[in-house]
Amino acid sequence: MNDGMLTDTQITAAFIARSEGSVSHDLAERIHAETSRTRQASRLVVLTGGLSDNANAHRLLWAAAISATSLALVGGLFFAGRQPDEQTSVVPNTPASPSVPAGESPSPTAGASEQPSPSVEPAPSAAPSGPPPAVVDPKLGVDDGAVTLVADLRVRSAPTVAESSAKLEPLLPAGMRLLVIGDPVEADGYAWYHVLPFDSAYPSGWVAAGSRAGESWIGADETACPESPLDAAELTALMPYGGLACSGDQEIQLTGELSCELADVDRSISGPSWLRADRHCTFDLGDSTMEIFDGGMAFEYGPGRVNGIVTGHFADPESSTCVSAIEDVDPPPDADQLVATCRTMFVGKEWVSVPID
Amino acid sequence: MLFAQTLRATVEPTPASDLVRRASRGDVAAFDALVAARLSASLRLARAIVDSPADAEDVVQEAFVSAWRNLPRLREPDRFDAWFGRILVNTARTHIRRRGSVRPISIDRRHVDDGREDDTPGQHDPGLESVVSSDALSRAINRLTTDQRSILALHHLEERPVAQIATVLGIPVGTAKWRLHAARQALERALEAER
Repeated sequence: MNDGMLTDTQITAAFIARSEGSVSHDLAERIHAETSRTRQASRLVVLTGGLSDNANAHRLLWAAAISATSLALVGGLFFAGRQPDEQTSVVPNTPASPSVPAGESPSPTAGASEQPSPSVEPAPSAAPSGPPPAVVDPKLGVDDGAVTLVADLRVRSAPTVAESSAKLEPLLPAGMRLLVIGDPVEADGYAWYHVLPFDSAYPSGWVAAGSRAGESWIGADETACPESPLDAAELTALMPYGGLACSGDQEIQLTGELSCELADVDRSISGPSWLRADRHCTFDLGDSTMEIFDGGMAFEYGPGRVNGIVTGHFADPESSTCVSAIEDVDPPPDADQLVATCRTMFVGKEWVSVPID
Repeated sequence: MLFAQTLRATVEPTPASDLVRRASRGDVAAFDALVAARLSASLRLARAIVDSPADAEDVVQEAFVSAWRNLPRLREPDRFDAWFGRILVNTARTHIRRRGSVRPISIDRRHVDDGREDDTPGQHDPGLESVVSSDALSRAINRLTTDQRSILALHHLEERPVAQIATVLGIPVGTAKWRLHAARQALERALEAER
């Protein structure tokens, strides 16, 4: 290369002169001492949600452990909603529905397989004739927060009481916060919602909004939402899906410490331009961290945390392009859950450093 | 036969990828070996990018510690050198930004130091090459942005081909070519400003 007044030789000589010098005799020793007392990062095997903290550690480790032997189970865990600690039997313990006429005792098999709730009883086909019951529907939308109003609410793999819809376990306790990830579907006399429980120990899938007798089983989550900008404590309180439930796709600001380093992350989802495997940004939440995805923050990658403000949003439009990065998963990933998982990811668009006094 | 195998095992260096694998599992000795093999070259590159030798040592130390910390996340051990090169360059950039030790100066051709507008169509002074002093060139390099110095150092000091530079910087090859060309032009303009 020599397209001007400078020659390559001159430039090379200048850089050699600039870089010459001996290595301090103790530099290698200093590096050794520093590395000896520095903990290595845990290997990031699967990252499907916004969290990469201790709360998700068991889920990640479990996924890593089984991935070598059963990709189908990985798919089942993340995409069909089954959990690693899934129980094998649950005894229904709620009283019978008041709509059940006395003396009508369906067979346990039929009852167990045809009810969205473990409180059991009549199959839709066995219901007395008359006007169709009103469907309980809290009119929740995509990205809304919901909460269970009853104990032992059943989650199913599909919005129907038919046997084709698997009954997932464990049952949801009362007060469980949920993220709605799809529009409601009416079937079998119920309004069904596709949900992600905030507690990853519980399965994601479909729940009925209420009984055919008019009892509400889920309702809108009335948890107060903090105003932007959010600090680490406020963000922690919203974890894992409250940020999306509160702000939707609106731009919000997070204040705190961010760290972005080059990485080599095995992700189970691909698609969006910001879902890159070669970098990893974490926002410090104190006892845990939240992964932030670089959507053009212009952050200087390197070791250490920097205090400042990151502006960005959940529910990035590119979330719709999310697909499974794991091939040959059987059963195939639930496309809605894949997209919903991406919508829960915070995409940073701008970074401003704020020095700590 | 056994002796030959033993001898070969003794004299043949451990492949870097093996060292990387061991280091990623927490083997400090293996990482020490990786450091030893790359310390001088890393320090040269850091010196080419940052201002002072002391800063360069800080950068190298920080980069190796960062590499150690993140090694478990490196999936392909064969990519260690490119991966570490990127860490080193980025650490240098971060170091400069935090220290504020480099003040990028406008080297737009039309705005030379004395503020005069210079729209002379002639691009280069044919007689200049012979009078380029090493001091002026050194000062001109100081006028470049960190990114410009980094890419020129990777090309002229480390003699890396453009494809490797692109890998280290995490940019497409075409972008690397363009940035290298732009950095070269910036250096020429900076040299003019230093005259």
